[in-house]
Amino acid sequence: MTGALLEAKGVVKAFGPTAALAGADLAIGAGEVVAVMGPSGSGKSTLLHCLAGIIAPDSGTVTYDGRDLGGMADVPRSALRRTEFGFVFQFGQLVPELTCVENVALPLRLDGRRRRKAEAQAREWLVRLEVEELADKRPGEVSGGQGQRVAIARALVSGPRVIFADEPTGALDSFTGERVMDLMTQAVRDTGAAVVLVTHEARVAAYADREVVVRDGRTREVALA
Amino acid sequence: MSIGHSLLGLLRQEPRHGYDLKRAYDDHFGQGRVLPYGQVYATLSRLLKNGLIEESGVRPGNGPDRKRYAITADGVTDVDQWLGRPEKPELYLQSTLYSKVVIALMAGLDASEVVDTQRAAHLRSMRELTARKREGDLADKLICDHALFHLDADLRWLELTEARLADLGKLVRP
Amino acid sequence: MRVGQWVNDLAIGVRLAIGGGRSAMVRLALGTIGVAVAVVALLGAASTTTVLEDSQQRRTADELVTTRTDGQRPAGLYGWTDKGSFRGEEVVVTYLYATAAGDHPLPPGTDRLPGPGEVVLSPALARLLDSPQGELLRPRFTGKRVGELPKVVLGEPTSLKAYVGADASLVDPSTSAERVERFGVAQGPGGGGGERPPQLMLLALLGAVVLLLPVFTFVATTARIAGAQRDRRLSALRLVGSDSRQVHRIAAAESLVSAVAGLVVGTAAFLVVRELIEGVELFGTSFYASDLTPDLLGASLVVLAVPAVSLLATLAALRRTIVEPLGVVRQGKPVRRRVWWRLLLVAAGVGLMVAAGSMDPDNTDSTTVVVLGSALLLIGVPVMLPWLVERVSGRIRGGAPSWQLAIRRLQLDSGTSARVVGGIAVVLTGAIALLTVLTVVADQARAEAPGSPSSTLLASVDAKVLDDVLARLATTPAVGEVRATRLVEAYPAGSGQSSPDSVLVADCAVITRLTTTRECTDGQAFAVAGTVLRPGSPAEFRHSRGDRSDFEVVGTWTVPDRLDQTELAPPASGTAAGSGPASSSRATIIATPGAIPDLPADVGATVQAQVDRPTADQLEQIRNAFAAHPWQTFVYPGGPFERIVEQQSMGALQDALYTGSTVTLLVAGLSLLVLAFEQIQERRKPLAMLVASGVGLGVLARSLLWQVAVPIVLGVAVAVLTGLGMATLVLRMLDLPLTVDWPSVAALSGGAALVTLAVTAMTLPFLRGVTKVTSLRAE
Ligand SMILES: Nc1ncnc2c1ncn2[C@@H]1O[C@H](COP(=O)(O)OP(=O)(O)O)[C@@H](O)[C@H]1O
Ligand SMILES: [Mg+2]
Repeated sequence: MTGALLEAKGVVKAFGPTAALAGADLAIGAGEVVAVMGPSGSGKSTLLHCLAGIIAPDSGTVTYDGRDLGGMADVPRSALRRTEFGFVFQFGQLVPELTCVENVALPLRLDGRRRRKAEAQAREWLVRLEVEELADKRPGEVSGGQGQRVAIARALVSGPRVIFADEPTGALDSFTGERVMDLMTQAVRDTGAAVVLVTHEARVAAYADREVVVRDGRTREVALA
Repeated sequence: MSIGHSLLGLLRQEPRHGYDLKRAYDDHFGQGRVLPYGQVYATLSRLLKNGLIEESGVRPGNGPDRKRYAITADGVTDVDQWLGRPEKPELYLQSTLYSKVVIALMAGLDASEVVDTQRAAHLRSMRELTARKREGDLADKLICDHALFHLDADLRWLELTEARLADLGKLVRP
Repeated sequence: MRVGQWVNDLAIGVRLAIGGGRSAMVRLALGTIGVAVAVVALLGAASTTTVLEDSQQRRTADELVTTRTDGQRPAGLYGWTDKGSFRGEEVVVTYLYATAAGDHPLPPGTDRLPGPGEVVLSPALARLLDSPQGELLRPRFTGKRVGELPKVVLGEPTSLKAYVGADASLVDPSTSAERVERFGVAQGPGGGGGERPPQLMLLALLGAVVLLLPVFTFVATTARIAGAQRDRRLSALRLVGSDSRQVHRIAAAESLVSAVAGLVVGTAAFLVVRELIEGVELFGTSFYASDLTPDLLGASLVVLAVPAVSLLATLAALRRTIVEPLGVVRQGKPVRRRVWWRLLLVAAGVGLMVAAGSMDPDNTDSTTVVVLGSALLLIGVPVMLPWLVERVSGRIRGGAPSWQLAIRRLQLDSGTSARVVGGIAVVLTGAIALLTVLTVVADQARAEAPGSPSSTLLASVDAKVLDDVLARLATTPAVGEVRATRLVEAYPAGSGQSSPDSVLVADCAVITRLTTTRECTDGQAFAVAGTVLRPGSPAEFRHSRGDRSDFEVVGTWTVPDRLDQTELAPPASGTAAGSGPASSSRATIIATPGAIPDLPADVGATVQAQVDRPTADQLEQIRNAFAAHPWQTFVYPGGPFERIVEQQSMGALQDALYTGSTVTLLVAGLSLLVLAFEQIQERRKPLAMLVASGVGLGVLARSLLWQVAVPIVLGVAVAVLTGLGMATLVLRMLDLPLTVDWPSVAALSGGAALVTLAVTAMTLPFLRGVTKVTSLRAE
């Protein structure tokens, strides 16, 4: 697919003797929501990390907006994570010392924005995700679903073009998970961000525009007639 | 699902005209298909005959649908008994999906391909259902959820089957 | 923009350090306490020069600056300072007498001198005299108390010092009193502290290294408090897009917060502590609060070094665990420790020590090399320990659940425990090394001490009071045979520069024991060897005013007509007959008092008394026998008072070491406590989980104990080996044999183990609190 915003080609990644990815391809267009599915241990998270430039593939390329992530130095890659990407993981991505609003404001502050301005913007996002009352609580004091909404707010606060979500509802019950997915898909539709949604749940994958299956480190896309 | 009990259930909420009844039924239970008028009236007359509903007034005018129906005490008992009775868990032992996988396997085809193709199809349906949920009201959401969970269950079964087969293959092949 | 970004990053770091909820506050508090304790210890150490200089300056502020007045005694203030002792404590008494009222110098801080029969005491001496413990000291200070000595002349708050008003007999030519020009630091040898011998300097420097290293180790360890949590936190920052340099800045700011807080709290605590410990005696040393003032250089070093060490430790920790965004989701396998650079460090230390062994021990270069080498060896202990713990724990399998929990934990992260124990191990290593060296050096000094193991007391006594002193000694317990002798030089009358005969004057009882003569009557005299004086010839006694030709005749004597030949008896073993100022061996003539009637009054007597295993009380009673005539008698140190002499040379150093190592062990113990708390705090969720699923607290407590005990056992082993090795190398350099004081080594090791146990016990209530099921709830 040409004109893809984010594209992985023949990505191979091994951890010691374990081959996590054995030639994975994936292309995501702007504003597209793609579910990455597959059994546990198949390499979904590894693919996501490679796509986000968090880990470097052993071979193969990852390009974002025409730029090769593999050849990028730490500083511009970090800047990319700060401004162009957003992350929502299963849990643990919030800094426990900071309040929710400070957590959401973090990418802006790391980008050099003044505290007051950054936190005002963060509060707006908390409102959009219907968790404004949690602003001054610490992550330790909120429920799993609320924490995920805070995490989504943080992922979206800097106006990213790609959201990387790894099992964002993995620790949530069906109803809470659905709320989180609804809010997230609503928000990305509003902002036009693309989403890489790693999940093994079909009901979560159903929020995506299309799905890619990872099996034994390889991607497979099924085109139906 | 019993149409009689569904109509009784709708009447348990409030008396309705035949046409309203059909509309409500289509909204909540139709799943895209409408109930023919004939079937509505046939069912209603059976319920009248059994004393579970009664006519509770006639609308002035001369349209075909002037009668209002209300539930009787017997009818309420009947609906309540129906609600309280568990449904027999349906065993999908004879579903087509099952047959397909077994046949694919017997034919020596790649089971994962069957699974992937089926998943793609299932997900397409699930995507539509998820989209419908977004627009629909509560009843829509409930019915979509119901369908989604069933499809989800199918997929899980498929994935589990595939994993089992992979395990089995590992045992058999080397 | 760049600066703004920096400020922003630092602000984030500060924000992470403070106000981060309960666990972050606990972390900050622990870090602050840790640094504060170290700061107190360091400021104390930085005050050493002030302590030494100030107390030395006060101690010597009232020394008697005198002029020699041979024979004549012009009018003025006369004084003599006796440095005696009471139960091993130095008691400095200055006897003063002014021959005429009027202008005479005053000691600093006083406006009058005690008159005859009056005393001015230091507060500590006054207290001691008033207490039951001072009973045996009271006979020495019978005068009326007319004041208290001011701080400006007291080395320490607990100094025992007095000015005693003497009578006119102080001015007798026979006394040691001299005319006081002024009070102040005396010039020349004997005044001031004097040069310390290189051996002692070496030990002192080693001591400083031993004592300060653990403190810095501790600061470094404190900087790593909650390391795993911090790594995760920084990973989260990485994930949302901070680059690696930004993360370093944030982490640095974070660690600086507790370093600076610790600096402030520590300085405040230091100011409080120094007020509290004013006058408290620790191993024979006490301080005035004002003494504990760090010098400018020391204080600035502390202010700079503490944050710097903390910062460096943080950055070093970051280097080892490369902070990656995925730290959020995966706990990386710990990096295996490498051994080569650790071994290199130890090898370098050993190499330097060995090299120093072949250098001249009096050379300052060799001292530097030894100190450097031992510093490397000491650093080697906490450096080797993590590797050792990792290797050893990696090999252990199985065991009871508590054991298994502990070992598995160690396998996952042995660094924290090992670092904690490293601090204790350094103190232990240094203490063992120093103890061994000190013991050997002290033994050596004792073996070389003259007359050892003597129990002969030696004193000079003015002839006028000799009879009284002898009478007193006769009734003093533990005193056996007493010999009093006087030695005088007799010149042939009018002979100019001829050489004299040494005439020993003693009564018959003494002569019969001193010589082979058995028959003796008063009036007899004996010749021991060839004499200058002929029997029956006139002789004179002289006072030399400079060289031999410049003298004044102070008495005459007619040599008896008969000088029987005699021989000195061989000195009985265990007596000091062969030495001392009145050595009978120098005598060429031995005379009974009757044979030499007009002996000049200023010819003092030498008293030798056999003392038979005196108790401490009896020793003081013996002193008191002389104390009735303080300036007319002088009791030589040594003999039964030998221990005191030894204490004064080795003692000061030993005291300093004990003080220092107590403080350091305290610091190390505290660090252990802080880190034990931190470990529990950091793992409260899994711990709570285990308790919730039915694992007994006892199992967890035991596992905590094992978790510290395994590194402690290794640490003690390494410390004993390294300590003895260091001692061997130092002793080799001093050419002394190695003898190990095993009981003390065992006691030290046991002490370290005990500290560990105590610390583990103290964490138990905390463990109980933390494992409440509510802890399960946390992000
Ligand atoms: N940091 C790592 N170290 C070692 N092995 C890893 C690491 N990350 C992933 N793996 C291995 O790679 C494989 C793929 O992991 P992952 O991408 O997390 O799978 P998934 O997310 O699909 O469950 C697994 O076998 C996993 O054990
Ligand atoms: Mg995963």
